[in-house]
Parts: sequence; C-alpha cells; structure tokens
Amino acid sequence: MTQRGTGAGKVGRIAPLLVGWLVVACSGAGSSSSAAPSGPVEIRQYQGQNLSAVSDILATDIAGPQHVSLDTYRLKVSGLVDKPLELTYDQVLGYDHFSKVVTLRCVDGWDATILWEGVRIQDILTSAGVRDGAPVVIFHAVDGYTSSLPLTYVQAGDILLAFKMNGLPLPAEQGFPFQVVAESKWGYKWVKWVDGIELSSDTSYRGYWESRGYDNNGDGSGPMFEP
Amino acid sequence: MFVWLKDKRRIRRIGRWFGWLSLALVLLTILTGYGITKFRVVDPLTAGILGKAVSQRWHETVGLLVLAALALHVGLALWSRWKGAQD
Repeated sequence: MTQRGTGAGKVGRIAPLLVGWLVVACSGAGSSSSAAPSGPVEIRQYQGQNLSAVSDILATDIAGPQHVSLDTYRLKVSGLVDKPLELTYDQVLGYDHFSKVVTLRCVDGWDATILWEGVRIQDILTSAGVRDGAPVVIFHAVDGYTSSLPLTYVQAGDILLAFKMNGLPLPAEQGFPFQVVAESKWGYKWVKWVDGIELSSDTSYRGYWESRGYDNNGDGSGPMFEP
Repeated sequence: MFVWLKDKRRIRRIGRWFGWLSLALVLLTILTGYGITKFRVVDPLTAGILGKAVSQRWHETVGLLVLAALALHVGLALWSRWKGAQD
C-alpha cells in the first residue's frame, strides 16, 4: 500500500511537468509555424506531370559552383550582331517570360525533368540584330566553359535562357543567374552561369567538352561521342 | 591446336595471368568510373590520358573484358584441377 501510494505520488508530481512540457512544446511549434517565411516553395508537379527535385541534378561543372554577384554581372551579346549588348540581370528579366517542362539528360546517365522559366534567347538576339552569315551561337560561362548551338535550332526551338527552375530562382550550384535550356540536347549543351552569347560564322567551333571528344551536335537521340 | 591445354602446369600459369589481368581490369574499371564523375581529379592525375570522354568510352567496354578475363581465370583453374584428377 505504501508502495502504491509512492507510485501515485510520483505520477502526481510528474503529470503537471509533462502537461507543462506539452503546452510549451505545442505553443512553441505554433509560434514557429506562424513565424515561418512565406517565400516560394519548389514546384514538384506541374499540369499533372511529376517533376524532379532541383537537388536531383548532380554537379558536373568544370570548376565548381560559381557565385555570381548581380552588382557586376553583365550578359554580353557579341560577335556578328548589329548592336552588341551588355545587359544587367534585371534587363534580361525585362524580356517576355516563358515556362517549359523539359528533361535534362546527362551523359553520365542520370536525367531530371524540371519546370524551367526563362526568356527566349531569340528575343535577346533580335534586340542585338543578328547579321547574315552567323549560323553558330556560342555560349560563354563565368567559369570559362563554352558550348555552341546552331542558330536555326535556337530560333526554331524557342530555346530558353532560364532564371528559374521549379518556381525557384536558379541556385548558385545550378547556374545562377542564367542557364541555357537546350532541350533534346545532351546536358553538356546546357551551359550554366551564362555571361556571354556570341554569334559566329565558325561552323567548326568546338566548345569545352566538344573539343574533348563529345559530339558537337549533342543530340540526345544521337551519338554521345565524336566519330 | 590446343595441345598446351594438356600441360597442367602451363594451364595453371596462364590461369594466374588471367587472374592478374582481371585485377588490373577491375582497377581500370574503377579508375575510368571515377574519370567520368570525378574528371577534375582523374584527368590531371593521369596526365590527361583519362579525360571524361575517354574514361566513358573505356568504361563501357572494359566491363566486358573483366568478365571475359575472370571467366578464363576460373575456367582454366577448374580445367587444371580436372586434368589433375584425371592423371
């Protein structure tokens, strides 16, 4: 009887503490949820289609993630154009925005289906005025990486220069401020950290990976390597 | 044509060579695998011989060579044992 009395006493002492802890924990959880930032969240489904997570894209860069400052950033449009441009980040965002769900396929074997939002490269090129005899568009990146695409492909395919993926601004690891969405091409054509677009007449131009054995066309349905 | 297969010691020796070849090819498979994903390390480490594209090409074929060499290594070892049991 004494023992039972002692047990009940213990429970009696612990119970208020337990209730108190629960009240504090619950009120803490409530306040933290009400104080949570209401910023954008990653979109994982779009028009009935499941999307990959941004974090599913593996790093395959040549010099590590680049951290670009928008204070000094300029997108240079040069080469065979009537009016060379130097656009700030906000000026690029001033062009019409478009969204597409496109699958990025890497030569390493993985792929990621992402909702890309960006501006049409064609619109930027129209502003600069492409001269005749410039069939090649060369993209330059902050880290020295380059790759090229045919002008006809860029124009006809409404190829985007993306600034958002799955509704979020591009993270530094994924090419902030801009990445080329070279749909139906291998991943090495999807230049990240783009800071230059050059119009060229050099049809034999080879970008970083193309000059190291990968196919210059880079068609996702075609060969991966140069013959 | 396969007279040498009757020589038990020679069979064992050739089998061992295929064993070492298998090991070398396994190491090459690992190295070329890293050459694809960790090209920033492997490329300079191999003086540019195993670049990403070369690594990828080799990696696709070297796996089959490993299996072939391993099969010969095991096959010849079993063959020599069988010959030993017969003698």
